Amino acid sequence: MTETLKPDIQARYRQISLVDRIRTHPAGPVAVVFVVMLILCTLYALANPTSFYFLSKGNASLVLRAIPNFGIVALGVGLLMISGEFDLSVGSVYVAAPFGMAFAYANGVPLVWAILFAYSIAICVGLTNAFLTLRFNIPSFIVTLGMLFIVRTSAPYLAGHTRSLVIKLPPDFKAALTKNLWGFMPAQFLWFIGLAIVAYLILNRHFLGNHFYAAGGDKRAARFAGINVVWTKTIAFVLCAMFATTSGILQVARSSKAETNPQLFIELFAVAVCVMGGLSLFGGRGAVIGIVLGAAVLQLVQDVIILARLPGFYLDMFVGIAIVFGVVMNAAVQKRY
Amino acid sequence: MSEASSNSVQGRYRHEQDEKILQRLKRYPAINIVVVYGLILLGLAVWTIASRGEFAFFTSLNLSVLAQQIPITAIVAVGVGLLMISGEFDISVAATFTFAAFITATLLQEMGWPFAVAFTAGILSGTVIGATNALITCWLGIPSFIATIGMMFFGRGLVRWISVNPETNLPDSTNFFPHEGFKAALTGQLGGPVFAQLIWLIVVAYAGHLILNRHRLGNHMFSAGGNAEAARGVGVRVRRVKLLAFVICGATAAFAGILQATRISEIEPSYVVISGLELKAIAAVVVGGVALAGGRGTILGMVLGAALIETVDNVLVLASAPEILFKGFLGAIIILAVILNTALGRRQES
Repeated sequence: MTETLKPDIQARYRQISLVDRIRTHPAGPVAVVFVVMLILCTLYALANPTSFYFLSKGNASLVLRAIPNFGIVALGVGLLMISGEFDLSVGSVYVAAPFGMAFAYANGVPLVWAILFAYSIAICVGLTNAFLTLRFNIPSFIVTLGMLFIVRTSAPYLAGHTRSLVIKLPPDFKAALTKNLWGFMPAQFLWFIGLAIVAYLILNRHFLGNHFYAAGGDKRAARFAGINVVWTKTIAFVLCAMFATTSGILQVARSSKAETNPQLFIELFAVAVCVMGGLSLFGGRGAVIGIVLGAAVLQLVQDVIILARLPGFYLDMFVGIAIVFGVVMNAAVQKRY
Repeated sequence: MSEASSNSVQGRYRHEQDEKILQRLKRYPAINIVVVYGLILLGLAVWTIASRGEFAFFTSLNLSVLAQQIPITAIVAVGVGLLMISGEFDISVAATFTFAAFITATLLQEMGWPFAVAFTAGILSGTVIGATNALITCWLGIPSFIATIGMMFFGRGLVRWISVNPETNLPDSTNFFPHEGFKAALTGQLGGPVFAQLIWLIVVAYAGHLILNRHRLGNHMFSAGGNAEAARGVGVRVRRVKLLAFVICGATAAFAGILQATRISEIEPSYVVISGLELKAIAAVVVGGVALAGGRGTILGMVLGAALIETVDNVLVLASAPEILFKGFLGAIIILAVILNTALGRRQES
């Protein structure tokens, strides 16, 4: 009897093929999109080597340098989104905290303390977001929208309304963060991969990640299972602000100046990246690899638009459609499996 | 016998009404904003007098600037407020606002269409954007603030597309000069600090009031925003109600955009990005006492909320504070108003 069942069970296990695993994985769709885009771009570049410089070293370095900018912010936003909350204030933390660092450093504070100062700003903003959202029980996107505009006023204020603060960072520090290795691999990208691995370890190899998924998936169930939802979400808010600060510091190290008020809308791009990467808007579902691939797809699209000399408004339209399409896809996939 | 009893019942009812008038006043959601705005105006009057003319708030010039600007923001706020009462957000209003003005300007000046047709087409473009938002939100089941963020990006793309200058291949501002008669009808000065857009605001606000309080649709909006499940249970077609609210919101934003373009005779594509109109509208509406989650709010509150926001902006300009401070203020006021609204709503329920 058992012998007749065995091959049956084995067959059933074997049925979960690679295709099914890609389909059911949160990052499956974005992985397919990424691979298809990469193949198409490569083929097109091979066919038109003189007009479409996709495969050149310069272009690779450009794209790999741009991906971490949104990608690192999106990692933090993604961790928070998995815990069931939003953070739009990352757009201001990304500006204000590195500006705090540059301001302190320019005024003679040692670099280490300046960096710690930047992170302490981030932690304060994260804690404020968490307090307002969780204590008064109001939607996090409204709280963080308000915080976005409050914090955004701080940097121009400190700077005396100048557009940017130019600083001279130690060359070792600059090289460690932004050196271009082998002609096409900027150090930022390696930092991005490193941070993605850290996020992966938090999310999948640490109890905190379990709590993130639980708090985002079903708050009541998480509470009944003995998880302190408020603390879990507070930690997620703080981590999110710290990731945004890291991305901002990399940007300052790259350009040697701290902008005070760039109209980047990095918070919205970060949400777009997360949604494209298969994270559920309502929390509880998502994977780090999806965020990485989402950031890569966004930059690939931007790169193609620049290389093909298409008008810039295509990027805005693409992001708009990608957000809506991504959410619809995620909901459909989630409902089906 | 029956007559006597009904008389006494009526009498008692009237008595209770008299007794509760203060409480009813307290419960009226717009009373807070009326008091707050009144106090602010009082404070500004004192400041104007005390500074002996250095702080020029109550001057005819400044009041006429305010009287031109407040109605435009307030018209947007009425649309956003009706939508918020129905339980949804619209973050794409700045894009609608600018795109509709560009549509009207392009049709009028480049295509040579008559103004009335171009104007209608501008409003229609707003309703189309609103309807698209509704389809994405209600029929695909996406939270409206995410769907309309998507639409905001898409609308920015549209504005950049329609505003591209063929010579430089970059977005460029357009001059907007409709026929004198239309300009007078839309934004002309009627005497003193009264401009035509104030009349338009009254028309829009009164229409909003009729929809909200005298028409079935208003009831359905309150119930759809208050408790969608219960509304569906009593036979309200929630999705259709929300669709109408989105369309109204798009149309008012488009109308305000055309008014603004007529007023300053120019349309600036970067307005989509830098104005923060969506934030202003949300701030005006929540300051005016509309519950963030829907189901509660008044037209008077929305209009006064918009007036308050614009007044503060004006005061900051007069006090020569940097423009960016205003955005910070908006952020703070949104958080504060939402916290207070939520607390008030909870107290009323209990």
